[in-house]
Formats: sequence, C-alpha cells, structure tokens
Amino acid sequence: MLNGNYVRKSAEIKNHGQKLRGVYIHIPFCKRRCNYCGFYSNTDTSLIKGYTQALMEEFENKKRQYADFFKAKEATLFIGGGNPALLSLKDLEKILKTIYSSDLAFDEITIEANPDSLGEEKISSYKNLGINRISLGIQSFDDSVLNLLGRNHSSLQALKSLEIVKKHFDNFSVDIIGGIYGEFRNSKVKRDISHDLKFLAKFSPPHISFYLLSIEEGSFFFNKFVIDEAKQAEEYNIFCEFARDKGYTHYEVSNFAKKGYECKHNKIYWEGGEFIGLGPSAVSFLKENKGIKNGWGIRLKNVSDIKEYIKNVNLTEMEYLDRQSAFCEAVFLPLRTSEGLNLSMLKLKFPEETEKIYGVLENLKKAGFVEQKKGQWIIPEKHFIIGNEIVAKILKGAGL
Amino acid sequence: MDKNLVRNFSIIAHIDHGKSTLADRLLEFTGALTEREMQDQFLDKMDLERERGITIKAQSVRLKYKADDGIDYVLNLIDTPGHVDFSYEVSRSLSACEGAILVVDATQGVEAQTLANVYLALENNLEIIPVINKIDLPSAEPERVKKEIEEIIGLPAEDALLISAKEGIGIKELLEEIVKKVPPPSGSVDAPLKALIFDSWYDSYQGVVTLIRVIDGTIKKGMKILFMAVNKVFEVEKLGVFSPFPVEVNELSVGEVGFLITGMKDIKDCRVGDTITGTERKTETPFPGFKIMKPMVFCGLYPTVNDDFEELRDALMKLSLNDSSFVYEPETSLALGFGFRCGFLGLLHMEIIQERLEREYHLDLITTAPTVKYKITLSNGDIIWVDNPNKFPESQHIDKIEEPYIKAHIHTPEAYLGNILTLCQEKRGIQRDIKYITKDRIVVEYELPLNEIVLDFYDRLKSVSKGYASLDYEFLDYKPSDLIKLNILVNGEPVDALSIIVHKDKAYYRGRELVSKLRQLIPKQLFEVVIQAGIGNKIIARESIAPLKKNVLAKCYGGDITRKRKLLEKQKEGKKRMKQVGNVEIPQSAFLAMLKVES
Repeated sequence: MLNGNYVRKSAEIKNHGQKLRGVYIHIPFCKRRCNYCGFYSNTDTSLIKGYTQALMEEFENKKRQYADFFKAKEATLFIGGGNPALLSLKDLEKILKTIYSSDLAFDEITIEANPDSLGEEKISSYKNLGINRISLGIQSFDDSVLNLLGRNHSSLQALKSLEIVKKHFDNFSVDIIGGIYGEFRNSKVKRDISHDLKFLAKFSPPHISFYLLSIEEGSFFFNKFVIDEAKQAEEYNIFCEFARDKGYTHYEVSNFAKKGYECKHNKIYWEGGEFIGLGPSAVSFLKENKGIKNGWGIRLKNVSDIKEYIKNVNLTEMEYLDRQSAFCEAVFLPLRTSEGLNLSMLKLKFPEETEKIYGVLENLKKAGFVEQKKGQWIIPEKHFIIGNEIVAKILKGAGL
Repeated sequence: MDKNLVRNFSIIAHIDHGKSTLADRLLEFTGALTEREMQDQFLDKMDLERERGITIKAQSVRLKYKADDGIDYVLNLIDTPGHVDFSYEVSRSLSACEGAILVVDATQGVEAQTLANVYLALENNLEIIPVINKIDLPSAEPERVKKEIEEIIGLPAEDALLISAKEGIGIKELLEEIVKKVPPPSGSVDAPLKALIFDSWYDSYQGVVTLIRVIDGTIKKGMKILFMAVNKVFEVEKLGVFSPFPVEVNELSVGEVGFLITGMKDIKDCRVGDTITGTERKTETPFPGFKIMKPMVFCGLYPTVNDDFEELRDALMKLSLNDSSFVYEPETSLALGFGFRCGFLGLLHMEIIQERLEREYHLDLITTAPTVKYKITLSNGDIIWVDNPNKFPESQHIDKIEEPYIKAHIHTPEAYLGNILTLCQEKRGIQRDIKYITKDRIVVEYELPLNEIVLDFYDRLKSVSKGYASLDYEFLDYKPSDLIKLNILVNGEPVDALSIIVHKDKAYYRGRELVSKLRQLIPKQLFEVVIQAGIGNKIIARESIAPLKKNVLAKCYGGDITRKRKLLEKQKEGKKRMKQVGNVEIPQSAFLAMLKVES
C-alpha cells in the first residue's frame, strides 16, 4: 500500500512559489445518473478495469508530449467524476502511483465522493494514498430534495459520511444544490434551503460549494423543469448571508471557504492557469509547452465516450484560442472571483482591448455593478448572480 | 423581321398561382433553355424573388416556336411584377404586349390582384387567354373557376385551357393558342421611331440597361435617340434580345422587344413609361400614360452599429441605381444616431429593400415604423409635407392636417365579410361599395387612410380571413384628419425613433398597446426600465420592466470554460445587435413594435 511519503513535498522543488499547475482525473462512473446531470457518465462499472489501464496509458502519452508541463513544479491533483469512490482502492492506488511518478510536487490532492460509497475504511485509506482533501457530494440534507434530484443516497447516509470525513480530514468540502424552485411536470416545486443551513452550521465544513440548480441539455430535467429565477436569486442571497455570518469567504460565484481552505485546484481554472485533464471528456489547457506555437494557448478535449476512449486514448479535440477568445476568458474568469480582475496585468497582454473597456467599467462602477479595490476590479458579491450580464456589457464595450 | 410573325404577351396571375412555373415550362418547351440550364423559375432572377415567389423586376424573353401551321414564330414573353406596389410598372409592361395569359389557380379561383391586373390588361386592349392551372391537384375545381372567370371578370371561359405548369400538361396547346389568338403588333415600320421603356436596371459594366418595345419604326446601333420625358439625347451603343441569354442584334424593328444600352449612367434618366424616339425624325406623339412614380411610404433606416453608416450609404446608393422609385436622404435621430429617411412605393417595396440591404450588403439595420406623407397647413398659412413623426409641428402651430387616402378593393369569401367590415371600420375606413360577384364571393370597396394600411392592415386582413381575402389599392387623394403625435419615453427620455402619428381617437388605445408590446420586446436589464406613452406633456400609458434577477452559470471549472465563453460571446453579440438608448438596450424588433399583430 502506498503511503503519504510517495507524494513529493513542495519544499523539495527548486522553483518553489511559481504558479501552480493542475492535474485532473475524470472518473466517469456513476451508480445512477442524477436528474440534473448533463455530463458524460456511465453506469457500467465492468468497464473500470479497461478504463484504469487506458488512463495510465494516456498519462504516459501526455507526459511525453507535454514534457514541460510535467517538470518539477508545484501542482494540484483533483480526482473528479462521476463518482470516484466507485474505484476500488487497488485501482485508485495503481492510478495514483503512476501520477506520482512524475516530477510534479502535489500540494493539494482532492477526491470527490458520493456519500453512499464511503465507509470509514475507505476514507482512512484515502489518507494513506496521499489524498488530503475530500469533496463530498451531499447536495442536500433533505430526503425529498435528494429524491427529486435523483440522488442515490439518503440524508442519513449524508450525515454519516460527513461525520467520518470530518473525523479523518481537516480539509474537506461539501456540495449543496439550492434554488430548487420552479415548475416540474406541471406542478410547483419549492424547496427551502433553511433545513440544509442548520446542518451546515452544525458541521461547519471548511469549504462549501453552493450551486443553484440549472437545467442542462442532455439531463433528465431538460425541457421538463422550468426554473423560477427570481426565487433562485432570493435564495442565493440567503445563502450568501448565512456564509458571511459563519465566517466564510465567498471567493467565487459558487464557492465559499473558511480562511486558508480555498480550493487551490479550482483557482487554477479561474486564474487562467495550465492544467492537464485525463480520462474521457476531460479537458486540458496549455500555454507554454514545446510544440505549442499558438500564443494564446490550446485547449484539448478528450473523447467523451468511455468505450471509444478505452480503444484510443488519443482521440482528442483541439481548440486553438485566438486573441479574442483569450481576451474574453482573461476577463470573465477572474470576474467570477472575489479577487477580481487586475487591469494592469490585463493591459500587458491586451493593451488595445483593455483601453476600450475603461469607459464601460467606469459607467458600471458609477451604478455599483463593479467596484475598484487597489487596482483590482471586482463584481461585488450581491451582483455575482448577474455576472454574465455585466461581463457581456464589458465585452461589448471592448468592441470585439 | 416580319412583324406578322411576332407575338408579344404577358402572364397575369396572383402570387402563387403559378406564373413563374408556367414561364419556365414555356422556356423549356420552346427549347430556349436546355434542361441543364433550367433552374426553377428562371425569370425570377434575384434570390429574393425566387424565395418569395414574387417578381420584382420585369424581364422579357424571346422564344422561337414552330407552330402546327409549319411557320416559325417569335414569341416575346414579357414578365410583369406581381404586387400592388408596382401596378404602374405592371401597366407599362402590359402596354408593351398585344395579349395576356390569365392564369387562375384551379383550387383558389380569382383573387383581387388578378382582377386588378386583368383590368389593366383590358384598358390596354390586350387579347386575354384564360388558363386554369394546377388541374393536377386533387382539390382542383376547374368548372367552378371557369364560372368565376365568366362572372367576375366577364370573360368567356367555356374554352379556357386546363393546364398544369408543374406537370407540363397543356403547354403545347397554350402556345398554339398564343399564336392564333394574340394579334401581331400593329404600328408602321416607316413611321418615325417610337419605343416604350417598360423596365430598366443598372449594370456595373454596361451602365443602364433599358428594356424597350418598338411601337413604330426601327431602332439601330449608332443612332442618336431622345428620351422624351427627361429630354435627354443618347447614342445607341448596343441592342439585343434575351433568348433567354443576351444576344446582340443590329436593330429592333416595329413590334419587337429587346434591350438597349446607351452608356447612360443615371437610372433616373431612364423612366419606365417614357418614350424613345430618333433625333432626326421625331415622333409626333409620345406613348400615352407616362407617370413619375412617387414614394408613398417612408421609414427611417439606421445601422445598428454606428460605424456602418458609410456602408449603408453606399448600399442605398447602389440599390437606388436600379430603382428609380426608391428615394433616400440622410437624417439623424437622437436615439439612433445617423441614418436615412427612405421612401418606397409601398410596404412590400420597403420590405424588399430592407431584406436586400441585410442579405446582399450584410448590414444590421434598425427600421422605424413606416409612415406616410402628411400635408400640414400651419397657422401662418404655410403648407409643409411631413414624412417623419419627429418633424411634426407642435399642435398650436397647426391649422389643418391632411393625410393620404387610398381606395381599397378587397375580395373575400362571404364567410369573412363581417370580420373584414369590422377591420375596415376600425381602420377608419369609409365604405363605398359591397357587391356579390358570385354566389359566395364579395368585393368590398373602402376608402382608407394609407396611414392605417402601412401599420398592420395587410397582416390583419390575412389573419381575419384565414388568408382568403385579397387586397388591391390605388391612391385616391388627401383628406383632412385629426391626427396627433404619440411619444414613447424610455426611463423618462423621449425616444424619437419610437414616436408615431395616430388618429386622435386611437391615441389611447395605441399608446397602451405599444407600451405593453415594448414591455415584452425589451429584455430585462441591470436597471428597472420604465416605458411610457405620452401626448404632449401628458402620460397616457406606463409599464415597467423589473431588473434582471439572475444571469450567471453556477459551475465554471476546467471543462466548462469554452462552453461558458461561447455563451458569453453569444450574449455579447446579442447586445451588439441592440441599440443603446441612454443606458437601456433596445432590440431592433422594438422599433417595429406597432407592426406586430395580435392574432
């Protein structure tokens, strides 16, 4: 059995303190698909063996192809899904051993898990595998909500798993889905968040991801559930207030953390950092590797179908960002965070475009839709919920 | 060429009754086009014409046909535009012919449009050959339609040909009928040249191309000719015929139809209906019936993005090269910036120009509600003409307002009569006549203000009659009327491009209706938006749009970024197509809100 020592300590790395880079592993297996989920997943767990093999093959390929990325640097690892807890400890160990064999020094290693697949043994083993953060897919403490969402666990399982996780891990997160208001199959749906808030207050997880229910194409809810956006907005405010009251920082549209517990891996996405994604439908983003001529970065997306993936792990779509797309991302991603957008940094890369958006920013500032704090432009928390509208206005201002 | 072997004819039909398909079949049958060259509806050149099934510009084609009597005839098919806006052009095309094929749909029967054109043909003493088309359809009722032709039009239809242009049934019989029934051109080859202009267009290589019908004499290459109405002299550079591809000839003689190129650059020198004669031997009498067509319907055209102003100007210039009845001049609007006030023959003409600007010139446009030209007598006795609500004087300076009226002929099955009378009444119509033309079909004659027609009359007529009623109209005169200006305010600011001229009795209703439509059309914004309608300083209607509550994606991780970015880009593109008025973004559709029909 592996133990924590396998993971390189960041102190061993020479260029300590540089920008983090992320590795994401997608585990596309679920016992059942939730009603709101539009992502690719597979309920046929007999494919796990072949999948594990393929994943390791992909890792070796990527390591060769993007060697620069895998040089000794500080990094994060995130094992997401699907439900990664469906992997046996043996398979997980195999995968991790391979990943750890690179020169990257993993600082934060997260695994997502659903409450119904977690026992005490598994959780403590995770620790031995070097995992230091657990993201628990609670979604709700209310059985009627879990039922409506098509989740595979009960509120009791949620509570139990949370207790065990809390016992073994200092750093963990829970996912909560809120804003369950609207119409589903011609009847009104109204699920108050207050019940969940009581439990959150009791367990006081260091990190919460709070998502308003959204209806995704390809999900069961699609074309069946009509969301009441006004009620969602109300509940979002209620949650923000709760989180503030309990000492959380609202550091991204849907993410709340106690001091020092922000998710480092996810921050890489919002800061425009580089990451490698492994597994079906996983996405990578690379900027400065050998063989990448494009100055604005490339994004790779693996084939979604798991059988296709096992057959050929190199089935990848490639998107070359152009200047306009890169600018768009450089604006909207940081504006999702409480850190906000640094105009001087933006101007270094996009001088003309930045020049053009000053006017809109000033106007939006006058109306209170953006604020300026020490050179950072931010969307204030109360307007996170209309962030798209604000960003679209800014982008329009750039005349692109 | 021996004029006795020439037959000049047109096809008269209602939209969709199969005129273009029949023309195609005639071209195919006479071998003018091989099957490979055959593109459906050959004569409708522009994409737009083909899509809408409407002919916008007239065309003419020379067909060779060996008749059963063994003689080779030359048949000139002169196509005519098919809409009420272009009735003058239709009359000129018809007067270039000796005969007309009247196509009536075997399933639909005679429509107002058909009747109007038949009258034009009769005025021009044309021999009319009735033809009943689409007899292949199971719902065809040729006997009923024959009876209609006799009762409504008063033409003997006992021997009307039964054809199917689509299936090619009866085409040969029709060609024989044309040779036998349409008289050869009269006119004298020895008389001084007299040629009628029945269409023209601008070609960027050749300059103005003119379609002519020689009435008397002969026109030859190199000859000096006079355009009589504009009194300008040009030299004949090229002559030719379309068969259907252009073929140059050295002369066109009495009875012949063809094209003429003189090096003329300005289409305004080439007026449809004008007469061409020689400078050495002039004809005594120009061809009768010449008119200069004046625009009747006006609207503002503005680029959505201000930077496109120059492009819009260029495009308008190019379109007007081809269309002497379309006028434009620059204007400014506080809300919309720089644009143009444009004048059109009618609503269809307006829509066609708009669509061509968007399609052929890729311009994003904002169109203001169409209006007519008002005649206003000021208190100091001066008379002004106003085609823009923003130039409407303050009421205390107005002595009298007159607005244009039209005479409308509406054909309808009996079942919809009640609805139509209600509609005409609502539109301030004055009833002139109602008569049964057959047992269950009625013609209603109304005098109606053109102002009401340009708003939504046509759509409403179609909707209250399930599409069965048809409309034809002609300009009547100006009549005094009690009109006022209705202002629309957005967040307290009047938006000039949204104001309209309405009858006093309808101001409240229109105001409320308009404000509630705008409320639906303007998307939620960051702020509350208040929309008001007002007359002078008085507010008569108010609605508000609550601020946007939510617009954000909950999740945005590594795999979501591209998707999320595309979403934002789409949203931004949507915003670019809206016009920023103050801090409110108003979509294009809002400027035409009053045209939207509640069905």
